[in-house]
Amino acid sequence: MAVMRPAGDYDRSYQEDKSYIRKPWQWVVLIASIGVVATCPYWGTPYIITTVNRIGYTIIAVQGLNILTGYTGQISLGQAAFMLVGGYVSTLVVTHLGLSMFLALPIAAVGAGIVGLIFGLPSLRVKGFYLAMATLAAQFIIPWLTKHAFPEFLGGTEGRIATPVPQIGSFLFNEPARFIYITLGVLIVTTFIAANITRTRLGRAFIAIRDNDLAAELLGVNLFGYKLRAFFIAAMYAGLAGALKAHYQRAIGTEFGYSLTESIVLLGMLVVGGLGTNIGPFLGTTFIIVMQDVSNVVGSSFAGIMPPEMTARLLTSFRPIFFGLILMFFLIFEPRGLAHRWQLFKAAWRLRPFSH
Amino acid sequence: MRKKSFILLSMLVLASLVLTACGGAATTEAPAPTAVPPTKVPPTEAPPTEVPPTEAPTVRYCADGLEGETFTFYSQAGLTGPLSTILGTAFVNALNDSIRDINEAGGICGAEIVLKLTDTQYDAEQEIATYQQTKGEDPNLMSIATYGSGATIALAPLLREDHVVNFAAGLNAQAMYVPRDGWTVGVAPIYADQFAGFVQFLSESWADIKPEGAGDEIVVGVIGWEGPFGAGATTAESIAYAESVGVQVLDLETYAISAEADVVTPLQNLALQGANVIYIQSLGFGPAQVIGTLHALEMWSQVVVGGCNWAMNTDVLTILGESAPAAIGMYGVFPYNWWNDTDLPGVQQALAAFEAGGYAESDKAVSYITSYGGTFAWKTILEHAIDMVGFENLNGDAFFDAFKDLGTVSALGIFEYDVRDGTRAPRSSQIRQVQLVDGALEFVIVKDFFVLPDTRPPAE
Repeated sequence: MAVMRPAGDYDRSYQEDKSYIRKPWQWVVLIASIGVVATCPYWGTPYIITTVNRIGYTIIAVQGLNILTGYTGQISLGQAAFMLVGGYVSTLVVTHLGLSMFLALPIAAVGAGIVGLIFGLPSLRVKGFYLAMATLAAQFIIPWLTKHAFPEFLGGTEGRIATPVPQIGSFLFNEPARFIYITLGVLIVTTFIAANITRTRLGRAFIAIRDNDLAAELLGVNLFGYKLRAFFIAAMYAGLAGALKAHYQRAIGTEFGYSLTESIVLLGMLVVGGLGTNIGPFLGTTFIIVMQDVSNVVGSSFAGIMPPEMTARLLTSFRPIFFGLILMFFLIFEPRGLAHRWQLFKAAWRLRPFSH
Repeated sequence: MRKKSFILLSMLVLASLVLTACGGAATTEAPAPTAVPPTKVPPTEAPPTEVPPTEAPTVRYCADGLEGETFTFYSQAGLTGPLSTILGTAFVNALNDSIRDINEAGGICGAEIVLKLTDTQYDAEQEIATYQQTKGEDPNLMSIATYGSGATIALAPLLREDHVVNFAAGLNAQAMYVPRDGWTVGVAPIYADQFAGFVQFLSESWADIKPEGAGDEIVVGVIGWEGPFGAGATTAESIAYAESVGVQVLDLETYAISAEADVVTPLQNLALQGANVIYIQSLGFGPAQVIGTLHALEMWSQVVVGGCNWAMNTDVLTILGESAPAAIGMYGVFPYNWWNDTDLPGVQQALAAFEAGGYAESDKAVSYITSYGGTFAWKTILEHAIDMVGFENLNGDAFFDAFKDLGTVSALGIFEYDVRDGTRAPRSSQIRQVQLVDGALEFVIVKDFFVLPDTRPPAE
């Protein structure tokens, strides 16, 4: 989306035109935001700390999906399965090779990326709904393999293996308040990479494929190669997210989720946040996770003020109904995602007092 | 337009609130305060372990009174989500009723109990997040109660590290016994013990219960949900036990945790391999699917049907609806007393609370009766911990030490916790059968409490 700026506000150099953060106040906001998250173990409640961790690693998975779906236009319903791969790779590398989690993370990313490549192969022949069906295979095959292949390594029917606690020297990242620094660090790196991918030759090719793949091919874009790269990058991000989640939860396996539902929720987070925007994964993931919890709190609070005979009924039904309604209304009134609303807000601020 | 949208939004939200709030729960007066009657512990045979003699508490800190203090009963469960019908409203009502009854009878040494119940939607990620938040908010957290194998498995390492006791309804053997001295305590025997107990019952009673035309050989086909719960019965240890008593156990057949799952194929596979016993390792709609399909395939009369404790529950009959009589003849491992054991004071008390609440008859299920009794067991442990170390020194270690000092703790005589000598789940059970008694379906005892074979997994 073209940035709407008031008259007289223009870039004075190519460097300035290229820069992501243009104004000093934007640097202040960025640093302050990172500072707020980094210091939340000192001021935040346990809820905030655990939720920040959950949001953090989930954003990474959604960022990957954004590159694949938002920028390249390829739908995938296998992102949770690729997270599972990443979690297993990282766990096995740390457990059996004795490597540090910090070395295992990139290995997990590459491992998941390679698996993502395999499931991206159908993208040459099919697109849209049919591609979604093809990637759905990952969501069935990968969890099945983890339960039936190499049970001594993958946990078999138990559905899990233990994941070691990350550590540096004798310092253990065994609490959410400590793990948050790993999550934050990885998130900063993935955000930097994701934001820059879109401005490279690679990103422009992705966008060209999304907007019109036939035209892109006529312009010399190798469709198959670039689509596979998008799948590889998306799965890498999922692998990283899965590895972080596994080390955070101390275990990996199908008992910890990674189901088709989770893949759909990840896609939903992206749609709610805004497809093809860098801020979309942040907004969508935060919105969905917080809304899930808000619906729980609202349900409990509402049950608390109702007559006792209604309490149990409210507690066992309010949450999904409330959450479903909120999502429905969101899609009716904000179909282009929260990122679009954010852009409108920024434009209105820039153009004030003549925003209309 | 905006005004119209706002009105539409408001009306729909209001409609949702009305829909959720105005269900069929009947309104009744709250029950009168009830004193805790003496309880009758299930007539269990003591496992062959030596219980170290414990000194009687010399100081009664409770005598000082803790008026003005509060204890929180932390419970996290899938109130909503894919399996929420299993706990249902009965579970919430049971916790509220039992805590109200305890408070009205004086609380714990005068201190009031408050309930913190969190919905985790049977999602391991939410189970962990909820636990971490609870632990963060209450650094002196002593115990939690969870429901589901996923929660048991996901939380076991954290609880061990934090020294917090988990009263778990997910009876996963690995989470409780690998490694030993875990902090997860089962409300019922581990699934492998249950299965071995059922096999023992089969081998002892085969001549009397075998289907018409069946030979002397017992071939058990286990059908269970995908995942560790479904696979929980058929461990290496329980299969080894079955072989030791001459019972053949076929490879586990699994089916998806879905009300629409296909159970025809797994049942036909078992039949083709000669199964003359079908053991169900699922709950809620899971056993209902198997029962219905066995009848549809005309296999019901050709096999003996049994199941784990959760497979024999009121909700299965409720789901079957008008077809509930189809379950007649099914056996179940039954490690607790039931609503029809009205000679037991604990059951009488639960029944009185239930009837005072005016709840639907379909809520007269395992989730109510065990949750109601379980809260009283928690109270017993906490009082003993106060006796041992005093209120000021209470923590997870003190709580578990008191628990182990008691060894077994009766939940109003409805069931019994057992943490003697490294045990983490009860080891005794009844076998009951669905029978038609005076026109109503009842779970009737066919074998009273007996010690189940020990099929705990090796420590590592």
